[in-house]
Amino acid sequence: MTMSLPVLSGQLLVGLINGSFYAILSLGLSIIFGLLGIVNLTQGAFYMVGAFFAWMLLQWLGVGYWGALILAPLGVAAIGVILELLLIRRIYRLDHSYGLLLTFGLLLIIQGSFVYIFGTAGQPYPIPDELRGGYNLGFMFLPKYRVWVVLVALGLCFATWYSIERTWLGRTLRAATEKPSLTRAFGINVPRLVTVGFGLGVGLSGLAGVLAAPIYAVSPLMGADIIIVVFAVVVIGGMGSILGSIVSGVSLGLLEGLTKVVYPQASSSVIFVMMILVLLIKPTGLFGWEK
Amino acid sequence: MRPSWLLGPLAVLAALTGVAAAGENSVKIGVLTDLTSFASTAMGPGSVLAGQLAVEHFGGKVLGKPVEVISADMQSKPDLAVQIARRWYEAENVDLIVDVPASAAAIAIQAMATEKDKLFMATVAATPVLTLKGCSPNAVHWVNNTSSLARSPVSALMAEGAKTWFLIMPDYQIGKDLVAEATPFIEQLGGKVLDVVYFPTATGDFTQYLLRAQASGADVIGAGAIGLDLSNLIKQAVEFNILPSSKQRLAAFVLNLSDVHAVGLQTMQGVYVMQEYYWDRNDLMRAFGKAFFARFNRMPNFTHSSNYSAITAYLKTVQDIGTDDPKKVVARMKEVGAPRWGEQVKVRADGRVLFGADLYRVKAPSESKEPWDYLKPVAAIPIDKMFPPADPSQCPLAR
Repeated sequence: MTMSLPVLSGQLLVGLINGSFYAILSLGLSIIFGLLGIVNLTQGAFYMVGAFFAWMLLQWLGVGYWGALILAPLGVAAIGVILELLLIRRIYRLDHSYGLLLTFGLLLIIQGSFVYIFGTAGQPYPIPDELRGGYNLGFMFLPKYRVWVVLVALGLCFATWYSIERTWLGRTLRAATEKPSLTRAFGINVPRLVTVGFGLGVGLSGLAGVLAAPIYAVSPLMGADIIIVVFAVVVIGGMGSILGSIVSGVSLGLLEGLTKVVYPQASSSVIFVMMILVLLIKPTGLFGWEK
Repeated sequence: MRPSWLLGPLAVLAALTGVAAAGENSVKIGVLTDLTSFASTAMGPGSVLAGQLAVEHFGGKVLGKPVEVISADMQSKPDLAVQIARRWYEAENVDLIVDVPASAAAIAIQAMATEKDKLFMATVAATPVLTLKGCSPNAVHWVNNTSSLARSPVSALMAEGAKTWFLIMPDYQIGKDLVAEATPFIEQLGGKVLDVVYFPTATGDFTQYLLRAQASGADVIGAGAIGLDLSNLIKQAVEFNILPSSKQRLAAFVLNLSDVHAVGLQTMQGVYVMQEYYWDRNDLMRAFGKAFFARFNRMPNFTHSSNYSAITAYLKTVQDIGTDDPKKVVARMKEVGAPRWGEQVKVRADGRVLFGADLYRVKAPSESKEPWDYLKPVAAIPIDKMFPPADPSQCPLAR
């Protein structure tokens, strides 16, 4: 197979765009694991629900993309908060595997109900008018919407990293999960803080779902397909490391893109091969640490 | 827990009454489909409804016996499908099984039908094995197969002047089968396959393959993606300005009408596809489409229509020969053909049902006059461009 340099650069650019998607999705997972110690498998379902909320807002209430960009993540976060208060809260003190089982069960229930109601064919969701069209780069056509996704992703990554690592809220959240009783002694409502952290992580997935709706078919199965890859991204970056999620998300998107050029058949497994290699060499992930 | 001594006698009683109820006093048809998993929109409850409609329209009885339609959910799992089929054939006196949206399961169930002297009509599964190594005196292959899926768009588009092809195919059996069938056919018609890309299932992002297809300058991008993969592929082709284009055409090898409905004409317009049934093609097809719509609020896919026409043909043949003996039914179909949308179509010795189809282009939103008005016929595909001849070296029945 021969390929000119311009075509190759187009391929790499698309890989970068996909990488920024992985980065936002893995952020939500990372926050929840890093702060709360829950391996949250429902994250994929919330991504799907975010996309569906955007679709419902448009179909049933006539609320367009920009409204959905704010309302859908809030709706998803609200569901997350309710689940945290009712169910997930009860298992913080148990072994990780209980959290895994509980969230996996929830994932199946959420996904199953959506399949039951909406069927499995994807629903259409248009690109907003302001972001239609694109730029002709000479070697490829770059849709405006993809540029927008990359900008939002970079902005979100920075904002999340900054608020967790550099602000009062982030510091308190980290303190509350590492030394809950000591934090409580300072007069801070730890359970509420944890709920907020969970809502934030889940809301990020919902936002990623809205961003994805114009690119991918909105289907109940869209979350299950991507969550496995995102898990690998988080493991490679280091469970719980915000910076690790961002760096590994972007670079794995690029790696996947390269594989699609060289040997497409391996494009879905290359990330897992990388995960195995990283686990062999540095079991805590590239940016992870021992607890 | 309930006392277990109660269960034994109860089970025996249930089995006995079950046999007595079914037995020789009714004809039982099993629609074995995917009701809840990823194929549940393409087939699913619509498949069951199509079976029920066929029986209702026939009058509910054949040879004075009531006809019963039962269904089960195989969840797109071949092993589960085979288990249910075994129970149906052995314990529940099911005479005919249809649907089965999984090639591996269809092959196994066809073999089981031969062994237990029952009837199997593949109305969804597309593997040509059913009329090659797996051919059976107890089965007919009612729906299109991979050969016709590959050959029909190729012959129709090449007749319109398309020469070069870029194929984007799923990295599993049907993708390989489509390429193996399409490539020699394209070359035989004087064309060329410029490149083939195999992608893993649930790929999500196809833009990189599409950019390559665009750069190749091929006349046609042939997409073997199915269901959601296909929706994503087409959505992204539009996003990256590859579709709709005057230079390149996109042909989908496997497309259900429900996919067009879901993705919408705005995105799907201009895609080429072969369909053996489309609700607005002729009066008989329209009548079934409308009856289906009245109950289901959706127009049928070709897979749904295939259940309807297969069961109708089965009942008609049973009526004509006065017995539901599976081998006699199949032999009769091979002898005089079978009714299908108002035509008497031939059934080959290897079990292949022979019919023509049409190549359609998905309409632009402005061309669509009413709900579900999605496809515009562009070329008729004759039988010899659909199915390759029988292969006696693989199927002994064809000798």
